[in-house]
Amino acid sequence: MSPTEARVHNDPVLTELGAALIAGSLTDDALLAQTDLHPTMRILPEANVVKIGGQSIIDRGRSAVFPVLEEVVASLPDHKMIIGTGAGTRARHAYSVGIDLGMPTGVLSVLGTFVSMQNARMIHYLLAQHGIPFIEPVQFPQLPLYLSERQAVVFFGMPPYTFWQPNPKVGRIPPHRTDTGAYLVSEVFGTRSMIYVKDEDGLYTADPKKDSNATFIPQITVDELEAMNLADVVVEHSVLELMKNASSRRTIQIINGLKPGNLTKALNGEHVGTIISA
Amino acid sequence: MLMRESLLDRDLMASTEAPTIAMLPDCHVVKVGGGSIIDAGKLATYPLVEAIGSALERYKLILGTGGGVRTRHVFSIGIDLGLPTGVLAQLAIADALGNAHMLGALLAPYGVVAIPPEIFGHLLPLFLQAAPGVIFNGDPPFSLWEHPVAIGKIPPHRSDAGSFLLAECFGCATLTLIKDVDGLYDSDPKDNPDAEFIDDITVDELQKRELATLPFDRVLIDLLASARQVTRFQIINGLKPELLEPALRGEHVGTIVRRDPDS
Repeated sequence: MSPTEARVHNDPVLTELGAALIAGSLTDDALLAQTDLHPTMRILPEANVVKIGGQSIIDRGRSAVFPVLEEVVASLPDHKMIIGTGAGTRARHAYSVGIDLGMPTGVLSVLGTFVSMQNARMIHYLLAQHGIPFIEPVQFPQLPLYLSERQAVVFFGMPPYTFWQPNPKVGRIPPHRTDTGAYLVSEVFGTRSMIYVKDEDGLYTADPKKDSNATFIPQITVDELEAMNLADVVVEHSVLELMKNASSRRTIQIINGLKPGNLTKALNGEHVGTIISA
Repeated sequence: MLMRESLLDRDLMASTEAPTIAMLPDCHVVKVGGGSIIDAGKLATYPLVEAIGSALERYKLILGTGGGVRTRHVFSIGIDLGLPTGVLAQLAIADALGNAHMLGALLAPYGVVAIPPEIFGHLLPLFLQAAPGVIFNGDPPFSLWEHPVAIGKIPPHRSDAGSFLLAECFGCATLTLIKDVDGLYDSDPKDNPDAEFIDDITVDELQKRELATLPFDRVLIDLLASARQVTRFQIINGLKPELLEPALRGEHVGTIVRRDPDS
């Protein structure tokens, strides 16, 4: 033990873990294992994160959006909802022009954020008469208050990585998009559920929009899903990666928001789409 | 083609591989260690500040800082209270920001100050036209959106990772991590006097060797593997501040970590 370490270990103000973290290396697995000391608390265990798809729901306009929001409003007495929005068609357009102009992934991430913010604002105005606010990342400290006062908030699904968005292994498109941002909100707040509202019943063996032989998979684990090595999966790959390390949110459900009643059932804990678990 | 297709499709993703512009190709990102330099007080920090001041006459610098000992302390308390990784990441930003402001005070005579994180990214090119350098809290803005990790609770994307991601996005000339050791060793030189120095290594070799400890955020290995612009970085010893300028010139004065042998 070096003199510094000895001093740190004898410091009465430091907890045992405090002394270990100050003296040790944060790249040391043995030290990192000590940080699993206590189970992680669930900050908002009664809230549900509901992600409304961009291209799959919002870009369809009122025919898809109004019925979903009617279910949200009808569920307000029974469920707390943290509602995230996808980006969709305009993000793809921005990505395609941005890639052509040579934009790096971090700049594309900023562009994707703007589109999911537009969608969050639109959903927010449609829910405004129920007193539901739209919050940006800096306003998340007010989230518990809004949930307890109004039962729901709207946020943009993109994680706020902006210029710090890690590169994908292949291509230029930001790997952590709105599915991931919504998922991480459910993980960090230890919420009751993570529900993805899309325009398919859930996961298929291939994209059902292109392949009529695609078969539906009602329930699957992340490991099984990765072993299938599908070319196209209904949620962002990074969600599956993160689920494996999650301390609280180990399951997600993908549901078809075009079928009335599905969101309400999913909020009630029913299995109406595909449940992926880790 | 992107408009109608699924962004979850592997083949489509491959079609988006394209050259990227470098936004700040003449700027250098330098990460100043929190625990290794600033926490050691004036003994380590003053000579380095002098070296940075002199480098600013020739180089545009983007200086990131780490949170050091205070971040370790807040992690230990937060973990004891049962708080999740995202909350720990949010808390850590304050410590790095404190160090950024101290470094900013020391470099104020050179016109270099700490910039608030809310405006840093978007205004970075403007600041660098107006000043010889800027300082930011090295942490990336992941905060509550930090990734959970396989072992333990410590946020994986800390200030080395944040400095790398910034340099990569803006296409900066070099990334230098300033620590209190000469670079990478096959074991921690503070514990093992016989530790062997590694002056040059690739991502592949790093993954194969599975070293028990590293002098930089472990996630940097994965991030560097996907680098398009900043395909190497160098770790140098800040207790030898005369190494800073050679490192900025691209000379090999510490440990160089490369994406692949050609980078």
